[in-house]
Amino acid sequence: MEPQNKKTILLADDEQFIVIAYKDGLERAGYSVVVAHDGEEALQQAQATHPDLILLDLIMPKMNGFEVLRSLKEDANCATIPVVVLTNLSQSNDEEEARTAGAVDFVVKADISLKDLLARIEHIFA
Amino acid sequence: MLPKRTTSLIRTNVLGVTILSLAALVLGLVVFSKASVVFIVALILAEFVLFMLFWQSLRTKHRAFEESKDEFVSLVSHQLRTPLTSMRLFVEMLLDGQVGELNAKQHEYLRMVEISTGRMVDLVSDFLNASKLELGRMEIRPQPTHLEDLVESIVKNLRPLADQQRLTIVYDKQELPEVAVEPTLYSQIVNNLLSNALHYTPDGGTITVRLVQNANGYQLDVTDTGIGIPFGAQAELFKRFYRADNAKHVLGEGSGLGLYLIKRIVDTCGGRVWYESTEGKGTTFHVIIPSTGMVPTTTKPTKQKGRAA
Repeated sequence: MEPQNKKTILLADDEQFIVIAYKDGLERAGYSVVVAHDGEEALQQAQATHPDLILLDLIMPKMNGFEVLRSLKEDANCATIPVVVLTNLSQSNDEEEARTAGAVDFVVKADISLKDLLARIEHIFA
Repeated sequence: MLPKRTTSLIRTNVLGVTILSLAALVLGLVVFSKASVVFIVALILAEFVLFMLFWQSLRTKHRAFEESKDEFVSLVSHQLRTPLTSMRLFVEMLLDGQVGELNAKQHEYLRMVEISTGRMVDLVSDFLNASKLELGRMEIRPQPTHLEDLVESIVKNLRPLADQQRLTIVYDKQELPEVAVEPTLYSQIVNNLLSNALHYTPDGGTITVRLVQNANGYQLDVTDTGIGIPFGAQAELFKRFYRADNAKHVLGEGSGLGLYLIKRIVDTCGGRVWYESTEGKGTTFHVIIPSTGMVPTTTKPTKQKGRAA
């Protein structure tokens, strides 16, 4: 893939190991990855880099994922960026809340393989 | 209106106040007079109010306890899932050969790590769901689903594990109309039944999966050539944490939650689960989901909890 055609994904997660794993996996799949380690950084990075997709954790320091999601949707420049919530919370009201706030997909991290996650991302870009 | 301090005193000592006023009531009855009739009526009314207050405070305490239990379980499962996530991701990358070639032994051992990690992930889901069931928080939101596709994908996922144990899984997929189920719950039923069959069937055995539509609804049959369920254990089988004696001798732990969860899920959604078994020969489990699909739970609006970072 040519560098200028590379899609950029913003990965917002505060868990160091999970960030290493996803970043590596996404880059191998040909994506360019920007990382944010807390909610505030996620919002700033989204506004600064305008990624093609955001993978958003829910429990993060400074600003939780729900707050980030709502702020993104209120920002005219970021409202159209698809957001996939990638979390280890799995109460059905969490999913409902995330989808109501505008998430296109809700994925439980522990339940999904890297391969399946990449397939879902591809499906969103298709 | 009573002063604020008095009302809060009554609220906190509501049981004591109730007993005291009951005593006064008895005293009023003993020294019966015209004046005491008014007094007694007033006391009966006060009694009623106090009793309601007492009842209310009990219920509030109970609810707070249940909620803290729920929050605890969801916290624990989140904490367990976080390290499990990175484990499964790194193992997956290693097994894919993305980080370099593995020799056969390394591959085999990592496969075992992968299987164990998967088992832990399933266990966490089982515990989380068991806890939701206990608290009456299991939510069933049916959506049109092809059951045969769910079954097929679970069979596909378990094939490598079956191969490793030299077990054969036979599934003759049949197209069926869509039916409204909660896919995660149906998958959990199928996954638990198949994991049990794999776990309790000796090397060389066969597990046969059948999914058909009949007059009763959508029937799933899982037949194994396993150790079977002793006759004496059959009444207890669906109880929480119960494990039959012969199951305890099989290598590897079982949580004793799988069948309990299946039974609770199936009962909650209007279906039926039963089995036939001969010890030493094998077992067949049957699960029926009604033709009309799973019965949805009436969803109460859940209060949003504060989320700490």
